[in-house]
Amino acid sequence: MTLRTASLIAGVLGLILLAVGLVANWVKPEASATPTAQIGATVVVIPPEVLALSPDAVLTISGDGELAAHTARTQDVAAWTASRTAVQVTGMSDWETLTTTKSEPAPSPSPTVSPTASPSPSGSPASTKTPVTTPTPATTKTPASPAASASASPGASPNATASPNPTPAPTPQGSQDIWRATAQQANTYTVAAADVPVGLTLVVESLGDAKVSSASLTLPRVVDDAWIGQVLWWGVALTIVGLIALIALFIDVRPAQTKGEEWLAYRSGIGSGKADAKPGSRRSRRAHGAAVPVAEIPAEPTTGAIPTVVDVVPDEPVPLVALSGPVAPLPPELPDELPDELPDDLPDAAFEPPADDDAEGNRS
Amino acid sequence: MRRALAAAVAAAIVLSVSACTPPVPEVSAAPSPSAAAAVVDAQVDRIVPETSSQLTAADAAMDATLLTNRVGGNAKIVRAAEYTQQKADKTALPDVIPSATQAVYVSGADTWPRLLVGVTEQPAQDVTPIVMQWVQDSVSTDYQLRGWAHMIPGATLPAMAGPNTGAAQLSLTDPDVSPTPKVAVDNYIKLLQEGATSPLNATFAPDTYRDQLFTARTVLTGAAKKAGGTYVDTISYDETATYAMQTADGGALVFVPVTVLSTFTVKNAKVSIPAADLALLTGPKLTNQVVHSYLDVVVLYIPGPAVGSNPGVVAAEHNLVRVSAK
Repeated sequence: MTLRTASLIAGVLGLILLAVGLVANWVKPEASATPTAQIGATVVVIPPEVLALSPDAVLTISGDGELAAHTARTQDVAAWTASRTAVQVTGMSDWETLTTTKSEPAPSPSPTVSPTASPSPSGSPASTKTPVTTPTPATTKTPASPAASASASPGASPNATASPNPTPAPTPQGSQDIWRATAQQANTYTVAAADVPVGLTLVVESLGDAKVSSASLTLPRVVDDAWIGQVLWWGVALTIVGLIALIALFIDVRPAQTKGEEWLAYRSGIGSGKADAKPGSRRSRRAHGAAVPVAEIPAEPTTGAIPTVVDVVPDEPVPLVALSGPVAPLPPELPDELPDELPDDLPDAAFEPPADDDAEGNRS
Repeated sequence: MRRALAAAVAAAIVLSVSACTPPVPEVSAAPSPSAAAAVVDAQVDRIVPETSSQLTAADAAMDATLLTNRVGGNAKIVRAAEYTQQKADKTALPDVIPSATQAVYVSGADTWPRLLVGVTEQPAQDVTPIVMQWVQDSVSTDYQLRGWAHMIPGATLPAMAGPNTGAAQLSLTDPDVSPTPKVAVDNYIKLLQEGATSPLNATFAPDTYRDQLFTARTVLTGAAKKAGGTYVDTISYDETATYAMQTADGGALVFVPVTVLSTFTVKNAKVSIPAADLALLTGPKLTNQVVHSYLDVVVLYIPGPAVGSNPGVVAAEHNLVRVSAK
């Protein structure tokens, strides 16, 4: 198997990995899910175990009109919904659907509700008042009345209020005492699960004639998609390798290859001395023993005449312009003829020739 | 070959995508609420002020019909009688019931009826705090004030479970309380009927309620005898409206609505009563007999087994609600 064939296979594998990665990235589940349920009832109940599915869950209840949300103990909600049509959210069947159960009010054991309604708590006070306004008929009854009313009235009031089937009054007109907390929102009620006290049931009811239409629970989910990125990168790399091999398949590189091989052979020939170097090249010149160029350095220039002091030197020092360097004062007077031997105390002349750029350049 | 490749790619995608989808979370057991009582502070803060508002409005108008959802039962009857007496005698003022509470006892019951008990601040320097009793008959009705009673001087209300669990509501025959609430109440009513000489007198802690009742009985019996008549009082209680709450020591606090009928009869004479009481007269005019009807509230404490003391009344109220000739 040649390198080209292996590269082509790698390219095919890369394309497959790329396709898998891209499709997986496209169809992978979102980082959050919103399972939803259609309610179609005036009351929806979300028990604490559903609210505990995720601490980051957000519950959204939709309906037309005003929605009232309450929290209460689960057993209290069960008693409250016993006389109402309610839908209870029970969990999730999949990531798109909330499961629900619908409960209908228990059938009334006796249709005659009037007896429980008539002996209202006001019955006993009324009995105390009636003799005052209508003494005549009461005269015959009053002997029994104190005992009857006194013993009956304490018992009558609980019996009266504890009617077996209290008419479920539309809240919030009904009793609100079982609710730990209550809130109202129009059309949509949204609450974070973490904001509902742990262990309490959430009840959302539509206060108008409309029903609660839907309930949804938006909750995060941990998607294991780290492998998708790795697959994509491997796919890209292998595809590039395969692409190069594919391009090489359609382009004839043999002339260039020959040229390169010839050049390599030529160079190796020169290096081994089997061939002559290119004329004029450094290798050629070295091979022909060319002398190292010698620079012609001119002789050092002569110095100019030594200047002489003709005037008396003023007290004030005159600035001297050094043309070529500091000038040492001459001896006061030189004899016409120099002695054969100069005295030892002659001052040393400090003089240096001026710098000559040309000479400097020649020297280098 | 191509089909196989496509199938392999599709299978790889499906498998890989399904592998990265987490399982659907399943509901587990419902967590327990931190406050499991039937009523917590937030609810008490609605119930008690609404009750006070209704009482205040009714007191101002001296109209018991303004007592609707928050005051009912015997409490409404008693308040109505107090308004009637107040209208007849401006000095006969209704009981002052402070709106501020110093303690609230909540029920942990899952069923109805449910109790709520509050102890008010002291209404005045020389008046003991008032024990208030609310009852919720069903899930769809409000907690309603059904009775109140001033604490017996020197009495102490026992501790009860707080809002985390709520106090258990006991049946009157609960065997864990000794004596059972029913036995204790029956005995106490029997003691009231028999008087101070009853052998049951030693089985209850002393209380001013029965002392006053016995004193009144002695005085009225003597007065009736002087006039050649008799005095009879009949004492009973309504068992269906009697409730018991468990105390922290394993005992019970029992709320008993007691009915007292005092019949005062004279011979060859006419009875007369104060104007305030006369305002409660129903039926024919008084002649030689008058019957006073009382709706009392008795709060009986049955100590737990470790306490080792006798049951006793910790709060009581004697409320005249009706006067009749027979």
